Amino acid sequence: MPPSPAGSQKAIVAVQVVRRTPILYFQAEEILLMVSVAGPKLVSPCLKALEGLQLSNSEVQATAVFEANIALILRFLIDNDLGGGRWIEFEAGAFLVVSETSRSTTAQIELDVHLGHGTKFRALPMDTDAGSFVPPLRTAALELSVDVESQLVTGAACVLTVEGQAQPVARAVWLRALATQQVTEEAADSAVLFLSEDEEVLLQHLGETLAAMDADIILTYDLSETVRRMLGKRGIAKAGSPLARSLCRRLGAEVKLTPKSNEVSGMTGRLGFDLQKQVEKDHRLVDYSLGALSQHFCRIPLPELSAATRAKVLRSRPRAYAQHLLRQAEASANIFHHLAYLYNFVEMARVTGCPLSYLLERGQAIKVQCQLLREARLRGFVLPQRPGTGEDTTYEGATVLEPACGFYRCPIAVLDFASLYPSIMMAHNLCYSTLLPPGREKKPDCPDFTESPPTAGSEHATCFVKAQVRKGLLPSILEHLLAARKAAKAQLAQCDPGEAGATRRKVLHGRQLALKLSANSVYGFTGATNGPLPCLEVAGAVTAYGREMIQATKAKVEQHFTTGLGYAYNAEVVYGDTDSVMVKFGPEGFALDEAIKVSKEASTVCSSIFPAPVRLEFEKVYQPFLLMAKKRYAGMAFASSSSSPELETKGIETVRRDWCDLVRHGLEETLKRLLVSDGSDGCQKAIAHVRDVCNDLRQNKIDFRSLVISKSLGRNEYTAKAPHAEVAEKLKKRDATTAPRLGDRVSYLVLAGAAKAKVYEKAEDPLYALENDLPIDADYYLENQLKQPLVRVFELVCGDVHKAESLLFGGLTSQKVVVSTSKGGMGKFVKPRPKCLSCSADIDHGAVCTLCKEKLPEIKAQALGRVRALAEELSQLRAACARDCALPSGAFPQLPADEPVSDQGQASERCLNEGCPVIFSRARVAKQLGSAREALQRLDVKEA
Amino acid sequence: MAMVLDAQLQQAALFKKVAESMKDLCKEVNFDCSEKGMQVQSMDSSHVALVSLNFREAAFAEFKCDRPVSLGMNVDSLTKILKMTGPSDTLKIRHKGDTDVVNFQCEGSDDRISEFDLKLFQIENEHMEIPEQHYKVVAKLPSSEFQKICRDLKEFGETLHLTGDKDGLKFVVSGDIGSGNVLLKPRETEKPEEKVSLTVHEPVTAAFALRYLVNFSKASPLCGSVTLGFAPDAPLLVQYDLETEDKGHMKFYLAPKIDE
Repeated sequence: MPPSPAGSQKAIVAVQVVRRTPILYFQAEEILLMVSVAGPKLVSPCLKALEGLQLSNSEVQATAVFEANIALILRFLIDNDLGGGRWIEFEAGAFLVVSETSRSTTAQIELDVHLGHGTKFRALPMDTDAGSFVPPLRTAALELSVDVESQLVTGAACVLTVEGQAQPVARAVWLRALATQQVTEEAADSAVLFLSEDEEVLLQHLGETLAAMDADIILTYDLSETVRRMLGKRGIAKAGSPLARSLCRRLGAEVKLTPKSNEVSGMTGRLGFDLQKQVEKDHRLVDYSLGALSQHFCRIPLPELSAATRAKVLRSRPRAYAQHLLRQAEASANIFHHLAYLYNFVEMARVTGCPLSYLLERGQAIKVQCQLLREARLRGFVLPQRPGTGEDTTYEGATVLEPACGFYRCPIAVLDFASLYPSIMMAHNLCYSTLLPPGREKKPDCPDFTESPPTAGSEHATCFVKAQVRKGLLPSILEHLLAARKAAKAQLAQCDPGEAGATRRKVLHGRQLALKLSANSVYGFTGATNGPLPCLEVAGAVTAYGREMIQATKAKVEQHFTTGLGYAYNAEVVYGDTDSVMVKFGPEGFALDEAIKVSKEASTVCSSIFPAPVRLEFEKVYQPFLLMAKKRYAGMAFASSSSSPELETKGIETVRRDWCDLVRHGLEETLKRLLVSDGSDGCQKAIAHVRDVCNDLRQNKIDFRSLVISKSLGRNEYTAKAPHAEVAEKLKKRDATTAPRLGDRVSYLVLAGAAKAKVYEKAEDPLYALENDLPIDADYYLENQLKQPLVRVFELVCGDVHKAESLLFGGLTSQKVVVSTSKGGMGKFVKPRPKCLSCSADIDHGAVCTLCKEKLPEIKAQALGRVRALAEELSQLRAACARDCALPSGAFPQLPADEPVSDQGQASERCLNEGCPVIFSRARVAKQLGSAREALQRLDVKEA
Repeated sequence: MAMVLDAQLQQAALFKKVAESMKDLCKEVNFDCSEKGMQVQSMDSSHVALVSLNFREAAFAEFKCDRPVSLGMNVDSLTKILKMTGPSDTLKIRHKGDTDVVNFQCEGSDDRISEFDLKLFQIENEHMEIPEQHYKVVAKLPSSEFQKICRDLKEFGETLHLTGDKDGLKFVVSGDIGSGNVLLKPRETEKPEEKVSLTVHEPVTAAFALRYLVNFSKASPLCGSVTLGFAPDAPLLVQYDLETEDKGHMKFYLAPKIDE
């Protein structure tokens, strides 16, 4: 065994005999040996040595290892009852402040504390004011830009915010450029600008500045990309260098980026926050670009620039470029603030006891494991080292009652179990430590137990001892979490509603959210086969109880609420899933408030048949309600009879991302018309809406924007024949520097192609299609996008599929079709022949045919009106674009003045913003205006 | 109501072949009727190819058209209707003014009469002027041979490189598994349909999408021979007569493939 690194020659510091209870299966306390080693790196050699150990004395045998796989930092926090995000109180004299010269970190204060017997420090309780105070943490939002070809850093921007202060305390921009003018006095509120032509000097200065800012959180849109740009090709910052110090507080540590896994290591003392990754985890959006996030969350427009545009702007408009970088950093800061990430993560760390960085970098399991280890330590249990097998062994999941599909005009009540799985675990004392070993329940000396409901395919019963015999650890943890949540919510209700209580409200909201999430993830921890401690017996028992309860609820509701027992109607459960049932208490015409009254009664009646704390609650009433299939429904939800209803959908294409906006939006609008809350029949209106959309599509009236489909590019998909992969391939051929990368969402349109062409052959980049005037495949959008989702909705409303199809799409063929002419393909080789502007008949010259000549004044007036309306629409769209997509020049007098922005858009409609919300409308209107003006010219009418 | 169009074909089969040859290219087309006959001009849906049909009045046994009218039809529906006709049936095509249907009536030798009213479309499209092309290479070859070459080569790649020079007409394709070519030399035969003739003003090589050529060649039943015309940076012409020259012709144009 290697000698201990601490200088002492002893690797094994101590071996103690301890009494502990292994957590898995209900079993008695055992005598274990606790081996203490001199350093964390000695754990694994020590384990290896123990494995091969053959003791001649057969009384001692190393048969099982407990808790040897716990990271040092967790071990330390747990053993000393500390946790992430917590305040620690040191008694006077219990610490030494490390002098400036012998420090090992750049932290503001560095303490030496003696660990061991009689340590004089403790974590402050969270429910006190002092314990839940959020310190003035410093968040540096950082944005770096590189030149895609040379991979050299061209600029950077940083916005430093301090918790508790509304305005950023510092804003700085770095740019690889030469100063043309020396400025001695800077305006007080403008950002600091640093210029150098040398990348190394620039980065050095950036590092020094960041180190001086001393941020607790380094906030970036894309952490690994930003760090890669900072560290350059070598991917490493030497210990103590300015760049290392800017990312890390430990003096002796280097910061590295592992090229393959893209992992940043060595950011000790600072938290690297990856905004994009986190938002992708928490929100389902169509577009995750920084510009889209800024617009979505903060309603602040921010243009997205392609690499080519960036290079051009840097050349011709350096002041605008600097300002844009700053805006990007500001956007990250705003989004971070808007989503209350600081509070939510600090609270999650406080609730689960995990270090903050674990929450960002690791999954759900560590949170539960951390709490379990704490509870185990308190009660003298130990966790076995049972790494997840990763096998495909599964257990039966939740139950879904067969839906009675249909379109319900009567109220449908939704009753759900509050925190179903946590309540089940508490009510039946389900835990690792209460699970009886298989067969034990048959032995005469077995303690009092309950047997969980049988599950299909299980050979033996799953039994748990009752709480009087031994209270499970998981139920204790859950009880604590739910009680704490109740307390947090009560505190939240008492908070000052004004500005004064704003921070406290955010803290408490974050806490109750963290508590809820933590409670809900306990069940998943027991069922995760690749987790640290899977126990499918527990997870299986939880779902078995859940299934039994849904069935019992259905039975109870349908037995109790009958005409036989004095109710007006027989109740019917139309659907049930996991933790909720949907009940029809009366036919069409049954009043909403009656339904709510009966539902509340039902929740009390049903709750009484289940053990505490299981509780069935009234959630809402849907009216009308469309039940399409398992996990697919939509309805107008009323929380009470007086509240205004809201349209809710589940599993329907409106919330799925692999459909174009036309479907998402069209379906939503259709459902809105169908599911009217005032009791009228929305069916006709909904059908009329669908037919309008279909006709617009066939007549080329739909904006490209709503036809864009996007899908994220997965591994190896460049070679697969999928539409988005084909488009990515095309983009790569056109410009490899701006082509989508792995994980990027690729947008495409389906264009008209040869007969029987595959969709992937017809897919094209939307902007390319727009620029080249390529026609879309209306039939594809009708048949493959609109049709299925709509027919699924209307087959229930109309009775059957055929009826729905004919009502929605039948007879559409007798409508008008507009065939546009494009400039590509054959369009280059042909000329359109002149046509009469009024009746479209072929003519040789002039504007109208002989038959229409008498209507000429009328035709002229119409043409003029059309041009004016289109010109007005176009100027409004351009104004919107100029407002939201412009790159204003920043106040940076040191830089050469920006070239004036040319009056763009006269020749062709372009926008430098890749996420421009109106470019498709603009291009379409401009095209229409062009042909309208041409008509005006042929009529010899002046526009003005 | 006055009959605007009243036309009769001795053999329904000709109209059926015309419809079949457009089916895979166009969804809806306007049949522009005038006293000269029926004309169709339409881009295919991807705007890469152009179909131009001239169905002369001479092809019909009777043809009466009082005033010019455009009948917009779905080609797929049209082929379904024409499937009802037997090879030697006669076909009447009629349209009354101010109605939105066109009536097809076919009569067999066995005195069975079938009739169908097809709903019309209102298609708004541009009428195209095709500038006179000066083809550097003009070739005439058996239509079945052209069809076979296109079908065979399509198995190997997407793009056909077509060369016309003093050696003959060369079809070249290359793909994932390799590359190959077919060379046709001018030949004289007894049967005029099997003749291959080639006029080269100047050697040309141009690239075209095979997929469309395969679709064009589905017009083979129309005529025993096919005429190809091409020049650099110009569309390819693929022309079939409607059985004989005087009845009219079906012309297909295909934009050359330009590498992105």
